[in-house]
Formats: sequence, C-alpha cells, structure tokens
Amino acid sequence: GSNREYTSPEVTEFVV
Amino acid sequence: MNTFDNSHEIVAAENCLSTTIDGETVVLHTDAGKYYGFNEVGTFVWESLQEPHTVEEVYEAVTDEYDVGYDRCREDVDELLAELADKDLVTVDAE
Repeated sequence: GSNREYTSPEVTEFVV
Repeated sequence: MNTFDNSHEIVAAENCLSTTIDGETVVLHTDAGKYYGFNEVGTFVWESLQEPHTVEEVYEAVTDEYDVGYDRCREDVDELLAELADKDLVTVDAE
C-alpha cells in the first residue's frame, strides 16, 4: 500500500 | 562521476560525525574539515548507510518509505550516492 511525501534527496556543503 | 551497480555495497565513511540541528542532518567530514547538510530524504538515505547495504537495498528502503516510483528513486539515489562518493562521505565495496 502511509508513504511519506517524497522530494529528491540532496546533500549540500556548508560535530561543532 | 561514480556509477554504481545494484550489487555494490555502500556504507557511510568512518571519518564522519553527524548530528541533527534544527531538523536538518549536519555531517562533519573530520579529515576534510567540511560540513554537509542533508534534506529529509537525504537524511533517510544517510541514516540507512550507517550500516552496509547494497545499492538495491537503498532503493527498496526509499521506495518502501516514500511515495516514489522505482525509476525516479533509482535516478535520484544514484545521483546522491555519486555525490557522496565524490565527497568521500561513503565507501563503496564493488565486489
């Protein structure tokens, strides 16, 4: 068949 | 640009630290000293890569979790994984 809304996966360049 | 076979095993690089800030996953590549941010689906993929998985398993995890077709998922995930590999954020085991 609850699936979450999809957006293309992204990684961006700008632990601290 | 890297290309992947579905059977390639991929895992997050060990020299990375990650945390969540203001709902966004932030990763520090400790060797390069660079910071990266992931959007929601990117975060889902990144979290799944904390354990070794084949590329095909990553496709399946994303299509199971999100409302997306296999073809689009494959195209997007391939692009993301190639970018992560270029930035040395993942290790690819091509047996």
